[in-house]
Amino acid sequence: MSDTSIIANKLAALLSEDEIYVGRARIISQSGAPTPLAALLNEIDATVLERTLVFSIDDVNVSMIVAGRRLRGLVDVSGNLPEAESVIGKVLSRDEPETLQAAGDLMMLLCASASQVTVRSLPSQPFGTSAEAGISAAGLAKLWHIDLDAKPVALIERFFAAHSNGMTAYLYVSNGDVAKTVGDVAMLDALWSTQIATFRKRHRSVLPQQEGPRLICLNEPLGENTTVAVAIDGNDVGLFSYKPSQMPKLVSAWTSALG
Amino acid sequence: MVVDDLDALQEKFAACDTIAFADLSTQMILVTNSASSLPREGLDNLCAEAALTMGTKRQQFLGTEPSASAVVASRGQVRLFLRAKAEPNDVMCCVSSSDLDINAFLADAQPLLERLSTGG
Repeated sequence: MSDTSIIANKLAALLSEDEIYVGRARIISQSGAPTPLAALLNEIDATVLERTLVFSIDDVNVSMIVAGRRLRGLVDVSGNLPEAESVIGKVLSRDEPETLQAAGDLMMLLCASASQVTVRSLPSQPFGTSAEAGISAAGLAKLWHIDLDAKPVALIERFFAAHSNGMTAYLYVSNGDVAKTVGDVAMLDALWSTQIATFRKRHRSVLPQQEGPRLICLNEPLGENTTVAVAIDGNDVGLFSYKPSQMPKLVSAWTSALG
Repeated sequence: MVVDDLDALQEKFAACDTIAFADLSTQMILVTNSASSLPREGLDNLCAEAALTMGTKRQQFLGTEPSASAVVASRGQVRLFLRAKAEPNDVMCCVSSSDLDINAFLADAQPLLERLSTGG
């Protein structure tokens, strides 16, 4: 990286108010908020001068040439993904709908369950011809059916959607209302209506410093061979029963989702 | 010595920072591994969290019976609580980073807890 780029990055960090950096990369999406692909398109929309934007989507790096708030094309995708082969090095154009769709499919694949997306802005590199302008961020959003202003899906809701195969039943409560149930939730519903409020009140009183998002997995809380887990994130609560063998996997998924 | 057993368990599972043997009836941590970085207040909180999540003979906050074990996962940290089968007030508490092999730890920790609880 040139001295100019280092200074530019440091200036950007100093000027930012709420931005968080990991090394030299700026976090644009964490734990699904904002939606990873919308965050990425918004970065493209904010890039006027020609730059190479390197997005780190969890452990995959995607390098794009961006100019004039338009994505010109992808120059590199780490990890030898077969889905990237038909896209790397191609200038995006409405005259090449298959490449455009392949790029969209690739980005949706990478961003679907990404827990963290960061961006670095590097000097541009030779790519295509000046006549090939690429596609605007707004145009890509329309083509790929991405709502740039979409409200991010809540942490617990995303967790349930991605890991319900390890659960036998679940109940999702958002802002005090039961928003979704799957499976036999009679026991979970009873716990929700009789115990959770008291538990949370007691928790706030005894452990006020541990009020962040958390997952509590209990073994045999209702007698032998029973399991219950409670996920808490602000005003959202999720209760689920799970297969005991799946507990370590669910805990790992939860901590990954928290980033 | 109990501390040697806790140290040996912690050495085997380096992701663990603190492994403690506690009594839920008095809500007191009795012994920790010697390399634990938790201050006294942190140990008190750990014991309080064990009682709150697993429940005690006197009070249940989650469920209808005292849980056999509990795992609490928060950002970057996992806390595990195990109850002795012979003496339900005896518990083992563990504070670990999120990369702990939970199944392997539980397989080693439960027999150790039973041994510590029965004074063996």
